[in-house]
Amino acid sequence: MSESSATINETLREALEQQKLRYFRASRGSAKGKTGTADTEKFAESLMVLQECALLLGEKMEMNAVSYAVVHEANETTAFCFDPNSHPQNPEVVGGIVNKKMAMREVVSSLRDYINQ
Amino acid sequence: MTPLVLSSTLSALRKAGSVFGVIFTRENEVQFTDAPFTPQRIEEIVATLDDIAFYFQKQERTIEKMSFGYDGGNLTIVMDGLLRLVVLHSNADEVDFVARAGRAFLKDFQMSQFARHMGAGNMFERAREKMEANEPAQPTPEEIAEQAALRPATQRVAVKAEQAVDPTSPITPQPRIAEAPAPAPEENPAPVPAPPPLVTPPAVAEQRTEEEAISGAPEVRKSVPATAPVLAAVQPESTLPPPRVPVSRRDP
Repeated sequence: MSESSATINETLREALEQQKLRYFRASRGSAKGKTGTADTEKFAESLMVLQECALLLGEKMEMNAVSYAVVHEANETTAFCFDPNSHPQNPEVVGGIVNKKMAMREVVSSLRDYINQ
Repeated sequence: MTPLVLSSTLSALRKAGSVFGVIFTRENEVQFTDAPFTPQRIEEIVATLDDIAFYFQKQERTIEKMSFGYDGGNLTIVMDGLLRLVVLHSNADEVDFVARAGRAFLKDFQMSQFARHMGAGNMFERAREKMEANEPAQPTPEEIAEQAALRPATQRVAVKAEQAVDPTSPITPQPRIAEAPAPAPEENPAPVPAPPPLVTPPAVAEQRTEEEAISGAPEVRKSVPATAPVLAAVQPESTLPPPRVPVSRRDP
């Protein structure tokens, strides 16, 4: 268990040092990631807020199907993108967090590449 | 930034690329709108956006940019304090361009607001200076008389110094008027009884006739020489009665 935690922490540390995008996958109210529980919880919370914002604004503009969302906050970029390959009844979301201001287009492109892997 | 400049700038953004709608707000107040929505719908969007901003503010999170992709288009929101710029565009690849343009606009707007406030501040400053300039810079004759009565020696020397300067001659430094230094306070000063007001010098009093002393109407100012201190007009005359002379010493 401790070896696994050490590996996870090492992955998170490496991602933070190299300012790499940390990927997560979420479906049916649960999220999975490779950078530890705390980091995955942080992503899950951001995902909930972003989805709520997207739905509220989309409802007012009569645009319902959300394909992606990106937010720049201070020195961090958080994004999620719907997986078009997932089942419509059980949609999956791929998200990512990076500790730098990354171009929005680049973030979405990275997430789509991750989906297509 | 005047309303004309604001509208022309945002209209240019509205016509750029695949942009099909622009909404610019300050908190809940719509500053500019050019979007394919009814005014009521725009108000709802602005209220929702304000709620979202309030939520993040409550969480102490500073959101700079947000972008959402929908089936019918993309929505990019740029925030800077209470200012929010919502841009609708159809091409998702333009999200960074739109965000950069929005950020540049908000910076310009903030700078123009700052410059306007600074200008307003200078205007108030100028008005205050003008008011101060309208006030009499030179003291009134009454003030001069009062000052002369209070400090006659200093005033006389100052007037002489001014008269000595030839207006056509080059300005030369004038010696400063050295006032008498105040006596150093003694340690443990004992209470000194105040002397009675000196109305007449003793020498003059000797010259006075006894009749004048009895009558109680001494001509003090006539008998005082020019070098002797003179009571100022503002200082009260002595209210003490004239000294009484015993009847036995009076001449029959």
